[in-house]
Amino acid sequence: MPGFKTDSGETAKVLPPSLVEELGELAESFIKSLPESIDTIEDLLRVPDRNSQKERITESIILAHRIKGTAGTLGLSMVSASFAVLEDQLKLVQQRNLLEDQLALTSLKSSITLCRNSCGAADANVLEHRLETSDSTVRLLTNATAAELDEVEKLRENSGQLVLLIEDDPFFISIIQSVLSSDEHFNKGILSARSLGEAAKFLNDCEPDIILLDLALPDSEGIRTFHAVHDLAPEVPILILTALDDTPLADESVACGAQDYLVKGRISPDALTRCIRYSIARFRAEKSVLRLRAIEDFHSALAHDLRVPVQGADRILEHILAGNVGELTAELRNAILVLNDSNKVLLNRLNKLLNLYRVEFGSVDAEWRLTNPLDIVNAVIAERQNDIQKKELKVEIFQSEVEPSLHTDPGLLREVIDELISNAVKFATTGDTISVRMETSDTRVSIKISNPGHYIAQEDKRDLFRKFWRGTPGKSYVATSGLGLYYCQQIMNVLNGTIACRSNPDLTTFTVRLPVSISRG
Amino acid sequence: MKIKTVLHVDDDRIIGKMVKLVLGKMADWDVEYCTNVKDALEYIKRSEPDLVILDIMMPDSDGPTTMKALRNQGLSEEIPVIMMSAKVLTEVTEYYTALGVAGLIQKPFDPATLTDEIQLLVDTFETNRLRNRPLSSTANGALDKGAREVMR
Repeated sequence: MPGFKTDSGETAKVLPPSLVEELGELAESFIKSLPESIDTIEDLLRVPDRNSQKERITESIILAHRIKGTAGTLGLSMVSASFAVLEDQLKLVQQRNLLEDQLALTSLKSSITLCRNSCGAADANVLEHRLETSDSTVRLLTNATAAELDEVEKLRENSGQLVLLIEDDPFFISIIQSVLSSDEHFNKGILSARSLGEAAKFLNDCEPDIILLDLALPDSEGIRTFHAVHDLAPEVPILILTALDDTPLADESVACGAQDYLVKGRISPDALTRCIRYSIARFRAEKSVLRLRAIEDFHSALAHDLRVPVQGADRILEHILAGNVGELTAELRNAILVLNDSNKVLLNRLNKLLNLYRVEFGSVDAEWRLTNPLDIVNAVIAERQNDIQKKELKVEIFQSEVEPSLHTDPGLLREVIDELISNAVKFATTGDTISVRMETSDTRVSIKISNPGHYIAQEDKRDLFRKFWRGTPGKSYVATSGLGLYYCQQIMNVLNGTIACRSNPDLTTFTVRLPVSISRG
Repeated sequence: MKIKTVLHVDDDRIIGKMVKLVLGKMADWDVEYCTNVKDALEYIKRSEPDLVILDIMMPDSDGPTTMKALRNQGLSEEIPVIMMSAKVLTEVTEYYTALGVAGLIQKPFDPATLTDEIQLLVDTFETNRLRNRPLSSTANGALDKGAREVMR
């Protein structure tokens, strides 16, 4: 391998300076000849003559192929890579007869531009760079010797990133190396393994930040390769890079957990760098989501377990209040009533938490029935009479002439209306009027619950339906548990409806909209 | 085995120049470069190199075909032929070895180690050839260029 430690650990031979100079000149004149070659390719593609089309494309493919090879041998990896992309595209165009297709032509045009740019940026001294060892910011390590593993540790300490490249094509190894060393965001080390066996040796002792994997290795083929590597390093994101354009294989890989599937000849060097960065970031995000989900699961299990003793207490308290455990004095009775109430509140909260979990994670089965929402509103108001009267609130109900009726789950809808009305009552000041307005159209029913006061500022509105958002203590709107409105929104999702909030200093309105029939929208 | 003259056949002139430069400067070998099979055959008529390097993929021919043509033209079985290729798979290597190729060199090659790689392949080829020779010939001992010229 160019310039890096050989198997025996010695540093490579040094080229005599005169040779380096002459090779540099060779590379220089090659680079100079490239713009003309690119012009030739463009001309070949531009000719409108249909008869010679096939030959012309073939000629351009041969030319692109040749340039790719020569550039690679001269160490001009970026040039080589860009011509590889071009060659591949030309082959596609030829295969599918796309020379007159606008999209294909645009695509070709940008590949050609890519080639021009890479030629412009090509550095004839690149052969010298190939032979530099300690100065290179990207170290290529090929053996799992103790010395190299120590180096890996040092890289890690300097918070560098470690890429494991499992690839047997030396051409592509040097392309990856150039691509990564030209990326300022990328810091430091590449391990390269030429087979699954070699990779296993590395993975025994170190955990890279990302694995670039070619599925076609000398000792393993296809999806098997992915599974083998994934088993060796389950906590490392895997990016598949292969010469095969195989959509079913790509889908299967991603379904099995690969971050992405890239066809070698079809991606530009920039895209590759970005893809590596994003795959690492995405993998970390996914891990966080999984962790959050695990926490949710834990909470729900906890709530479930807590509910048991609380339900038990509830039964016993009812028992006591019924006089079955003995005579109660008035004081004792009052005390137990307070206890009973607070226990019921606790039970209610636990049930809500559990329902929320079920609604959020889709395990609730809605029972669709023909429902009159007015009945639900009336029922909720009846239940809340005590609180309403305590604050001397008035409740006004408006409805359109047509009796509203829709297919929905009345139980779930009731939870929403209950939450909204209890909020309205909670935040009303004494003597206020709460209004409930029902509007019906052919497709929708809207239920608007308004009350004056408790203005919700614009910036708070955004967070209103977010989980656990409780508002800012001291400002007027403070949720009690931070779950209520979030829960309502989740239920509305199940019911194929929406919930929204409008607020100005005079009036705050929550609007619930539902489709009239079960069929969506 | 000591190498002095090399015949290199490749349609890519730049690779040709590169190989000539590297083999010349690193090991002082003389490279005769041809861009096609016809010129190579002409050269073989006139003189015999110590080593032949062929590109596997050329517009009018591929490596094995070229090698066969050269041998038919009179290139001795004792002269090692090495192929240069863009991709080297294990099965392909075995296929070529079975054909009598001394070895494969992968493109892109490393200028610093190319001559060592070639020398290793040539030496191995030489050793295997001697081992497989019928008994009567091995009595002549190790081959060097001088001895071969005498034998011819």
